[in-house]
Amino acid sequence: MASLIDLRRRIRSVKNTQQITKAMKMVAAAKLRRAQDQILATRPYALELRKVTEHLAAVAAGEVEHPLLSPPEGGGDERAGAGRTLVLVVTGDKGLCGAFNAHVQRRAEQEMAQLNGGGEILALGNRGADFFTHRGAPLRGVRRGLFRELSYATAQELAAEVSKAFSDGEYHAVYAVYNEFISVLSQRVTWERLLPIAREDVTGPEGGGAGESHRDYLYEPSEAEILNDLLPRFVTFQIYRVLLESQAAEHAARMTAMDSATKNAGELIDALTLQYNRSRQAEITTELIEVVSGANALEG
Amino acid sequence: MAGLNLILVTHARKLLEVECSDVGLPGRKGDMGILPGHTALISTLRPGELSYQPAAGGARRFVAVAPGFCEVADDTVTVLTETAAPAENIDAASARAERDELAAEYDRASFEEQAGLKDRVDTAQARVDVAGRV
Repeated sequence: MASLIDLRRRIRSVKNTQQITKAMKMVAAAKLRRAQDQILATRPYALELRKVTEHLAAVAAGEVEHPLLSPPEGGGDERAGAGRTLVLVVTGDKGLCGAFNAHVQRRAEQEMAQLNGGGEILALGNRGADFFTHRGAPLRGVRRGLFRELSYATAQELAAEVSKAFSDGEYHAVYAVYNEFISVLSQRVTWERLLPIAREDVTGPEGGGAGESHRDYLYEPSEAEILNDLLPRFVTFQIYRVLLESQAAEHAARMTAMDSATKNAGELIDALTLQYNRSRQAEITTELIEVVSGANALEG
Repeated sequence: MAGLNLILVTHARKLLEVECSDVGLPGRKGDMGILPGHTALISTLRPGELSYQPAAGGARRFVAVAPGFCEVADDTVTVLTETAAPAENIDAASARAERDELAAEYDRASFEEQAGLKDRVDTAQARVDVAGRV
């Protein structure tokens, strides 16, 4: 049985840990709020970008052949398995956030195993970078410290590299695996195609042309040229959105993980305190018995 | 009085939503002036100077914009751009320094790299121009 001093030391150490997890939870909560604001702030841009792209794709359907757009008549799926695939795996830069990183990594490995033409990974975030380097997975590259200063420029740079590799025919498709932010309590691992841009993606679920899209617009320059200018922006924005989602999800996951760690530490402290009090009382009882039996022996 | 509604959106936030009597846009193919009742239009924008006359009166306002595009419909002008800086928020000295730095980088760059840098140099130049408008 542990001595009283040992127990006291143990309790103190658990209390320290609890303070750290509590602080981490509060930091994650503050960062989560900022990340959520950032996502909300992109909404107006996202809506308008989608509206105009959908409209243009509907108007210029058939005439437009852009390397980033899947060929018409559902050609996108036919090409699956025809070549290598690039997978963007988005993990966090840090651990201590539950199964956040592990889920993405597992999903990425599962999907990679199913790719016909083989694939390469572009690992975004320290965690994924370490994991896949260690595993010896086929890597195109890694990006570390991405989330320390997440900006639109980061997404632009990534989009430029990925789009170029795709247009040059290095890959036949580009996918992203990331944690989607659903709510503070739940994140969903999502597997999503970034390139080629599916026609359904840009023409909307009802096939575009509905409602106000019928308006006669004046185009300057031509529809096709505007669309060509727009599609790379569309890709950049998709990547930016994926990074923001993952960032928010990471903070949410860390918050939940640290909250339960704090709770667990509390339970552990209670249990240890009980044990401490019990052994203290047992010690006192033993001493009393010793004193009493000593006195009895003297009298006898 | 029929006015125009100008909405300026960047990927980070909605920067402006104002009533104005006319808007000047830097179109890819040349500058455009938009007045109320303009026909529906979609156009790409080059880095440059966006200007508008607030309906509430006062001086004409200027905003430096990065490349993007605009949609005009129902007397609403929606401008999407990657960055935008209103004239009053630009520090002329640092804008000039940034422009010079980018211009120097542009001069050093190879022909292929120059294509990628062109818009950034033009955006920096637009910022310098707009800063001079205040």
